[in-house]
Amino acid sequence: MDIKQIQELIKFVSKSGVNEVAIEQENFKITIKTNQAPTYVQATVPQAPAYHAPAPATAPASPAAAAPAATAEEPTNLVTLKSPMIGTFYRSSGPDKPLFVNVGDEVKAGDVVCIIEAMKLFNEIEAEFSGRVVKVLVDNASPVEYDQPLFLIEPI
Amino acid sequence: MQNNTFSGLFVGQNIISLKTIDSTNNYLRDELSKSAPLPEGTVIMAEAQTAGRGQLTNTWHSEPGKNLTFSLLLRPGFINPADQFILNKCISVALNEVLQRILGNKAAIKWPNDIYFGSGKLGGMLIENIIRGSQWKYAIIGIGLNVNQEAFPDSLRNATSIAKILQSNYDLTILLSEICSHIEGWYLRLKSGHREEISRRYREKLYRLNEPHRYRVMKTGEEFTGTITNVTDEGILQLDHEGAQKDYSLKEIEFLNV
Repeated sequence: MDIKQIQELIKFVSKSGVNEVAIEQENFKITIKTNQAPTYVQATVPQAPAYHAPAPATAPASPAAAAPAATAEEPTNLVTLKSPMIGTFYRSSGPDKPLFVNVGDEVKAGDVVCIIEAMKLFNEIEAEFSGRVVKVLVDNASPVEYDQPLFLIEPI
Repeated sequence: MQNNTFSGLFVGQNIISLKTIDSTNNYLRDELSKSAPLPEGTVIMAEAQTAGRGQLTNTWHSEPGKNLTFSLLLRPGFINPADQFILNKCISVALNEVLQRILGNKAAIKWPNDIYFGSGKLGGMLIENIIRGSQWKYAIIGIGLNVNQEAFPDSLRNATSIAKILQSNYDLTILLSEICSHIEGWYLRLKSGHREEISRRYREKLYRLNEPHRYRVMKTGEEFTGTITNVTDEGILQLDHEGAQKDYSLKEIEFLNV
């Protein structure tokens, strides 16, 4: 299914008045929800880089049902980098040190993107693949849970 | 200078000894980012560290040549990074065992990973890991132990050393060799799945276990008398306070000395 088909599908669903449509084909799954409030589009894209567990690429929710087509303009192949443990998320190695990554930066596999401190153990988290940082999902020095999404990365 | 005179299987087989370095942990990490992979068990030893660290900002002071400051490389790929506190327990237990042999039963582990004798601090460790996805690629274990230094700044009220306790100096090379062999022994036990034995031993050796002492809750400033009963697999400290169990994470509780 290409972007144009997805756009048409979203238009169709938003006009139809149903709350949710889920389509699953081989290697492809899309769910469109139209509550009165926002519209969510979730798509699992098979060409995303291999993770240990397949990571769903979550397109950001569009602000309102009135503009469902905007969702489809976002890159749909974003991959989330998740926290491998409970701990505290740090974007640099110290208060006066530069950030490991900023939004828009390109990272290579093996680049450190953040530190997670857990009980005095300091974990440098490396990117698993090359890509561009689209969004940082957690504030510096915030607690994070196991499997909590930390970054949205667009593979390149 | 490199040597491999130790008798263990791998921990301490490759020792790189340096005169002065900012931090042996940093040195090891920089070496890892170069092309040639370092074997598991590699030890970086320094006579003096200019920026040896306790936690991210705490620096640790050591008179050159008097103490043991080294970093050890392990590759604990067999442990899920979410379960990493078990490695902290494993190394703590190994160090405690060495000190118990040298100093006797007052050797203890202060939660989460300080090395104690009675209520005096002998040293500590700083574990820095490199994680990719769900794979634990490297653990860099920095260890600092007060050995032959006998005078400490006033700010380190409860610092002590092996020489202060024994009233005689202890050979640093012998001590390093003993530590490497004990870490290796406990690490191999961890690798073969003996996590419960490690946790049991860690608990038994906890500083203040089963003794009532004063503590302060960091957030509220409230002080209370509690008794340490356990440390969970996640590293949470459990105290009994008037019959109720209370759980504390790091930086949530302070040990008070009255």
